[in-house]
Amino acid sequence: MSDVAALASLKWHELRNRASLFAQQSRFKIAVVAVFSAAFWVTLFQLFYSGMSFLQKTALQYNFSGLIGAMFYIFFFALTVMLTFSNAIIGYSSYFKSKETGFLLASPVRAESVFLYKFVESLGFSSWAFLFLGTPLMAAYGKIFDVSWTFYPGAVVFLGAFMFIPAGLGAVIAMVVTVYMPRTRRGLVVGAVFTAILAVLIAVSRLMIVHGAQSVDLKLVSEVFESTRFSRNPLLPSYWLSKGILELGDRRFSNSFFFLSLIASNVLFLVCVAHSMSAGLMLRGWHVSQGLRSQKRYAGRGGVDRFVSGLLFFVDRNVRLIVAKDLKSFFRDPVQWSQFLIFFGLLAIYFLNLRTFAYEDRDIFWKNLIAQMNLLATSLTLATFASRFIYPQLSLEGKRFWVIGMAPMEREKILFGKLALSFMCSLLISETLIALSSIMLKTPPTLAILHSVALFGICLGLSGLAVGLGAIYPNFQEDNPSKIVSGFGGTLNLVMSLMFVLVVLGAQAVPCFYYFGRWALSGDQFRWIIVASMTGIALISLVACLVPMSMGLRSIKELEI
Amino acid sequence: MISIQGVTKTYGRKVAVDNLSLEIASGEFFAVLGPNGAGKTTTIKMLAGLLRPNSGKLLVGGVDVQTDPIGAKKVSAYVPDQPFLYDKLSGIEFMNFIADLYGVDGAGRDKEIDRLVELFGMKDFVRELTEAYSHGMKQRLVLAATLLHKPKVIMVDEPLVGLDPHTARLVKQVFREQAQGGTSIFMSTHVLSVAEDFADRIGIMLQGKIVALGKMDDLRRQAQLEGKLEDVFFKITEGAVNPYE
Repeated sequence: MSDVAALASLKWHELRNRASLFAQQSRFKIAVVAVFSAAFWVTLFQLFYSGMSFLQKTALQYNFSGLIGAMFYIFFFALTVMLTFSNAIIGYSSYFKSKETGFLLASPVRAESVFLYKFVESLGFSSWAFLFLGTPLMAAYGKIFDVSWTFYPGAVVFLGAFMFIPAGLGAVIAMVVTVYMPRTRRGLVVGAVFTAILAVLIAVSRLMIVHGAQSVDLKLVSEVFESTRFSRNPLLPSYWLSKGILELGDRRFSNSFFFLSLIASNVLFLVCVAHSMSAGLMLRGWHVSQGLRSQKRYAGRGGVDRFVSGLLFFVDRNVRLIVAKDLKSFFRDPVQWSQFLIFFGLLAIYFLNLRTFAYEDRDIFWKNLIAQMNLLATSLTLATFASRFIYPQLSLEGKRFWVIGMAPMEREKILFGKLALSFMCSLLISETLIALSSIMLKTPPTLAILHSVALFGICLGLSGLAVGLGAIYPNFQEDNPSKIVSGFGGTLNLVMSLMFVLVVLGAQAVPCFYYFGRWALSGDQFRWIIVASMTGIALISLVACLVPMSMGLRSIKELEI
Repeated sequence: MISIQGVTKTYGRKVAVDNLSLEIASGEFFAVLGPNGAGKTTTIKMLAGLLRPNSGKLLVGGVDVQTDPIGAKKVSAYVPDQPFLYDKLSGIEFMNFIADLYGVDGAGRDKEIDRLVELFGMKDFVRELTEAYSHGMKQRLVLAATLLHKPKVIMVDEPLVGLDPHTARLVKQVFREQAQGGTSIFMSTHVLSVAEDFADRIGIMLQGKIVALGKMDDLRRQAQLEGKLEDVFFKITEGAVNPYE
């Protein structure tokens, strides 16, 4: 049996065993996952459908038919950049840091076969969300434009084929950077993050070419179209994807097939390049990454301890110690904080460039709309952050749980420590971002305060959900946070977090649209609606925080290690 | 069978293995001892092809580890101190996977797997997922899988840590038998009695160098001390190690 066949058979056996274990779980658990996933997909579809319907209405109003197309180009361009770097980072830890790679490289398997095996694995980890987000978008597009039935399977084929391009690019970046770039682990990831941010900055700087303070909606639309011209460069893979899907929607099948073929041929080329490179670079990269050791010396107590003591002065000393330990572990692992930086760094760059479109000079309707979108983007990023970084925190204690589990303190404090850390960090980051958005958009103070209050509730609820569910469904066997997150509890947390965000934002958006939108209300009416909305947000957030936390506290007390 | 020729390995400024040269014959059971950080694991990992030396040459079964890593791996087996197992595979699936990786085919394959399952007393649990195994069960599985392709060289890092007396005795017996059958064993251990009772030759490493090498009598002569290996070891490493560090 060839080594590739042996590895494929290994994966098959693993998947089969996992599936049979999953089937043995309680039907309730399976039903919950299925129902929540379906509900989430439908909610996404509704969101995309409403957003695109609105855009299409606006476009038709001003006889500007290419608006949704322009949105596709920019959407897939941004997604390609994100996916490429996500693949590079996940690929780096998968190719050069995992125990399994060491095990396989110690056996007589060709390095390029190990690469292929790990490539497929990291492709799955980094790109599943692309399909999950992409399919409701395609469905919404199909419904609005009344496309032929062939569009739906065709679009899935497009998305599925396209995933390999950022994956291949990410793999090449991971190998080249590991072998040829900075010789320290930290330097490596700093280099990758720096390049990602630089790429986005270059793209954003292109937006600045078009600038104006027109007050007519049509101008805004045409400006957006013009300023995103870079994303319609025919040499970009994201252009092939967008164009191919649009052609498919317009029933120009031969044109669409041309772009699919273009993607497929480039996928084959790229995977061949990455595979050939891996013959020389996989083992070298492993040697380089295993030979790196941090030369840095750390003091017994340093800046992080002082920062945490100041930030969480109001909580118990032991809780602060746990928080400081978690923060140190986080910031000393570049694979962790680099993802965090990409999450929020891109948002910050976007907010800083809001004035490029001169939104601040537009009427209150547009300002409110853009501010709502920014709040949505920040909140969804926070939900992802909480699911990716906070939820697995307790599980990551893993075999080390005895250290804090045996410490002379109540176990509940461990959870309160994680809650405090999550809440304070997410509050600091998200409030800064939304303040930035409000300043750049010159939004009225009432709107800025409303958004700030809503974010407070969102941070509290998301933190409670992630910490509480993390304690209810701990997984002490797994060291890889991505795998912890992909379990039942992680999926449940992600779905509930996203739903919670949508409910809170919905409660917050209603009065804003009434007041700042085109349905003017009197001051009194507005005040009542605001009070009702804020009370609702407070209640929902408290429930989202307290219910999972109290269940998590009970669970951690009874936990047997 | 194992040839280490002037090998140096550094991590940044730290020299982990310092111009090490060593020859291990076919069928020889060689034990390397030394305090933590002496360079034992680094040496084994270089022999397994998982670390690249800064300079020097390593031959395993006559094959250069750097120029023909696949060839070297085909004739050798490496058992790390904390072996990797696939949680979602059963023991028998893992053994079949290893047989596939090492190209163990033919009619004798299933028989050999059965023999090893029997030898290592795994019949009762070999069809369960490895995630449910204790440390000793995992170690038995890894060792059984290691022997499947009949390696000429076995490199093993701390094989006895955490094993119950029965499993520990089994492991020692298996290695002894392998060596008698012509396989070279390169074992790193902190269990001095094992080295004393089973090894043909013992090397003591300190700060990346072999500071004492030979049979028990040679070591005693070097230490100018009659007695057990434990006394000899402490005499040789005396002053070089701070136990409270």
